[in-house]
Amino acid sequence: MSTTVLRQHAEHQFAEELEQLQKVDTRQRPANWLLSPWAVINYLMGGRLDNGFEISPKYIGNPRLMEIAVATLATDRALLLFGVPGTAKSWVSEHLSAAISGDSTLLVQGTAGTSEEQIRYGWNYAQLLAHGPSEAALVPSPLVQAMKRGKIARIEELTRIPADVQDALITVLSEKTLPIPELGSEVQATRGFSLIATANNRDKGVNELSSALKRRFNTVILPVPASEEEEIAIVTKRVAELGRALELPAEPPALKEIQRIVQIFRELRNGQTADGKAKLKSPSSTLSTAEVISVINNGMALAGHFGDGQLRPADMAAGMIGAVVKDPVQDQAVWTEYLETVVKERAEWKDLYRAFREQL
Amino acid sequence: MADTVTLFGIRHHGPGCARTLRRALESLQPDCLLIEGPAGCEALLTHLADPGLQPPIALLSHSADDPQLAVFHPYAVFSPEWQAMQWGLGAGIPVQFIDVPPAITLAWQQQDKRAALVAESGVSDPPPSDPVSDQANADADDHAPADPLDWLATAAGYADGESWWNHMVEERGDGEGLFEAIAEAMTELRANAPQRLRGYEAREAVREAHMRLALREARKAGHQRIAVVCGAWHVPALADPGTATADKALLKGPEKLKSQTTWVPWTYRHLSRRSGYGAGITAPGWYEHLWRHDDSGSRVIGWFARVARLLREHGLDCSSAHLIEAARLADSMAALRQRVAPGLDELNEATQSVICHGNDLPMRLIADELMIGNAMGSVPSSVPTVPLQRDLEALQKRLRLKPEALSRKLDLDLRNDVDRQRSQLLHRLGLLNITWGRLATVGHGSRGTFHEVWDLAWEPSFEVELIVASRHGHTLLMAANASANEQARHASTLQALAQLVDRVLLADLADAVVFVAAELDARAATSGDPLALLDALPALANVYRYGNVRQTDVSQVAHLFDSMLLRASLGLALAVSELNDEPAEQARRTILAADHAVSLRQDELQTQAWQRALQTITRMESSAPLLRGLASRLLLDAGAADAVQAASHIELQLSMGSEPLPAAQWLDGFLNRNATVLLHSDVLWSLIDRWISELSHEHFVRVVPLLRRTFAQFEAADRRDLGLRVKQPAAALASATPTSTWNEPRACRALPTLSELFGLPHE
Repeated sequence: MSTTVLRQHAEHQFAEELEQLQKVDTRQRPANWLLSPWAVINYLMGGRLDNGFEISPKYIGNPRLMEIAVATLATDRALLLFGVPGTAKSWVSEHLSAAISGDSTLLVQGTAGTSEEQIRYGWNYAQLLAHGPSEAALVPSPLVQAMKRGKIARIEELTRIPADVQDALITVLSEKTLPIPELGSEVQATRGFSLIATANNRDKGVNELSSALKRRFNTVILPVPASEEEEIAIVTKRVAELGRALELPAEPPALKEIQRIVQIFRELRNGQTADGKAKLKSPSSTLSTAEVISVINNGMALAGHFGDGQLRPADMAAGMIGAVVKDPVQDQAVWTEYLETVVKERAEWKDLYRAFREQL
Repeated sequence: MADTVTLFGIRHHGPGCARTLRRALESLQPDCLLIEGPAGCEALLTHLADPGLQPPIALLSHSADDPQLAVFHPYAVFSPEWQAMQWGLGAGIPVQFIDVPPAITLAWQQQDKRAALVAESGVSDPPPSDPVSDQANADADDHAPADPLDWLATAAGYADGESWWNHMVEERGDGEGLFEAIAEAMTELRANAPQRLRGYEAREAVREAHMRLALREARKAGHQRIAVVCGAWHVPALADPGTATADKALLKGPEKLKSQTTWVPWTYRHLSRRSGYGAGITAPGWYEHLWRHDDSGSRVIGWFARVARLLREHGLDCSSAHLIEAARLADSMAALRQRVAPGLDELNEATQSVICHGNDLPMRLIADELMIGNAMGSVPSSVPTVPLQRDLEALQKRLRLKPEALSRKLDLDLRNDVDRQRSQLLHRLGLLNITWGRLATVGHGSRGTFHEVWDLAWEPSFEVELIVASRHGHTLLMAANASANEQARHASTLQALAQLVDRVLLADLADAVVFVAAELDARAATSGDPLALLDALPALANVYRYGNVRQTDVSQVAHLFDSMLLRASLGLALAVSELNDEPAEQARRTILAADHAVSLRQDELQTQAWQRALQTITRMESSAPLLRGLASRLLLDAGAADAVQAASHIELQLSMGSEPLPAAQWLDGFLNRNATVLLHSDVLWSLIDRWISELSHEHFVRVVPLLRRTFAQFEAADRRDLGLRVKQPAAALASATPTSTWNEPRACRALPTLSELFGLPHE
């Protein structure tokens, strides 16, 4: 593939790593898998091969989670990656399918408008009208292609798909068959077929999975960054990158400011203060790392265009409250409680407290 | 020597070891069994035949003079030592304990305690003091700064020694050559492991010398096939013959304390590492499961079946299909990790991923109920007394309180030191569910006085309760502290926790106060219900107000009260909006009690926060009218709102535009079952009078029952006064107020004395 594309598929970008792994991988492979489960884990977590080749880590976090994910796919069960936005769900799903089937493109993007045709099959209407229902008039979905070829299919944002459309998956997952009543035939999955779906667990209640469908998935929850240092590093890096890309006029903020914001997010998300001494209520909002980044960017834009070019607490207050208070009644109460019981008590946070107080 | 002695190196509480050990004993048929256990306690083995003795239990040795010094040797059904004892008794061969007698371990404990005291008082060199007292039985691997098994585990590519050992020893099916392998591994470890803490090394040498001596004696007694069951760590030391003289010299050294030993019931919770027990295991429940299920197939399915039953009992979905998929995932994960059979880690991960849909809350339930388990042992009444009983007897003697079955009254004056200690004793027993004394409630305000009146009656069942409670600690103080902590963890409501704070303060349990208060604080922070927070306030306010009588430190309670009040105040307005009649009535009681509590607290800031919350309620149209009325009234009474404001409120609420029923409810709240405000405020009287007279017939009929209820709860005298007032026209009443006439010069003469009395400056 040409290198001028904006972003390459995982199987192309890391083609060499996959090739090297295949060379050294002598363990047993499930039918139609390009690598053994052991090598898939190696590909995801990174490490040095026996021949000295260095595999870069794709997922930074608990290796046990990846082991559960790979073992799930090896037992021909479907895998559901759950997590708040920005926890590398799609990233993991792409790399898993790249490593297992060498093809990460059998993808259905779930939206509120996803129809059953996109999951199962559609018709080429010109063909349908000219020759009637036939194999040739059928337009298979990525899922059907994956079933036929014994590959991994991917569904992004499963919970955004309307519930009745979601349920079209049940037969596919339990009987590994997709009936085509119009032709009186069916598609039977080849060995090696499986499904990786990603879903956002903060969107509960949007189109929550029926328990029948839920039962057919093994669920792995991908957690938010484990430590404050890790998260601060991610935020600092991304803020600097985004600031450059968007040409924000303000100075990138000092580490101290980022630390405070990350701390507030982490405390509210974890439901306890950083020193572990007091418990807190958590608001209904996601409070993901991505949102920390956007609060700071927002603040930088405000500071640059309307302030003195320095990121001040007041510049961030509006964005901060917007990120925390998603439900005007419940979250407001949680936020006020946090302000009055935690922020107010911290002597060196007086400026933050005043800035937040003014915005209430 | 190899022909007469067989050494079995085990891990305490290892089911795999236990199973293999039984099989090995069966084939060896020894004629003498030596077990690493406190020497001299063999007499207690006779109780093993008693069906009343059910594991988990512990051998408890305590010093005769100081019950605070005590050592526990716990045994579960899957402990190799327990199985060995059972086997030995069944086979009718002599069974002997060969570890140092409790007299020595207790003396060591005393040394540690003294050393810790010295260290606390400022000496720079802290001795190796391990706070956990009940680990004399612990293997060296538990004393060592890091588990030596960790080194072997790291070499084998495992995360920690625990999972390595579980996988290599406890979870495997066969045990062929297991003990040889263990002995070899331990010899290697002892030769190469870095030096450990010196204090323990010396003591270990003494213990091993004792074991060697016992071994020599057994051999001298002419036994042909001697089986020795001891911690794996000690195997190399016992295999090394050494010299009797050196061993004897080692044993001369240590000081000995007079000790007593008995069986006490134990629990899996206390056996788990979480409880702080040194040789503790992570998952006693899992070990018991391992013990009961020999082969790995039925073990996995059996475990999942138990998980399923537990989840269903708690109303969580779990079908057989879930179990099938979970078992498949566990198997393939074990294969991926190159293990023969899935271990606890794999089972847990499969459970979470397949059955719980990634959710970790049910996993906590599983950890608590299955991995640790609720099993509790029992002990027949024929076993000797426990130190807790002894401690209580000593206290009873010192405080001159005899346990008598006949009920008698005891009036305690809390200013008196002995009486205060008596009161504490009774309160502490109460925390252990031993209700020897019942606090007689003499009127409502009895707690504010210096007197406490108790009804004392001792029941025989208390003896059993004492034995049960002895797992909490061996002195009353320790047991009451531990029991209070446990109750705090299991308390279902904030109110119960707040009452517990009160009880532990009364019992003067400083440690428990800290713990319970922290628990209350943590729960309060996450509680979403401000009314529940308010419910907890009165108990705290009482403690705060009356605590000083008992010389308790109340600053912590005050802090707790303040933070809970703040949280409740912030959310109160939301919590009382859109309430129906009945919940509103409940909220009314809660708010009234909380208002009283706030006034007991007597702190400007807290009162302000509370009044702000009340203000918000009065203004919020969505809050229940009853509560809006009540809030207005409380503000009026507290002086936070003046009569003019109150009147304008009333006018607004009772105006033509408002629905009569809510208006009547508002009035009910405002009058607060008390007529005084009606009797003494003309404005109010006329406003209400006007409102009632302007009601249409239909409306009047609707509000009459409610009004009647409101007025029926006034005092009889008030109702009569109200009736009198209705008879007289308001104007006449106003004019009837007597205009006072006095002689000014004569009145002035009283002024100097009055200003003297009030301490005012002279003009």
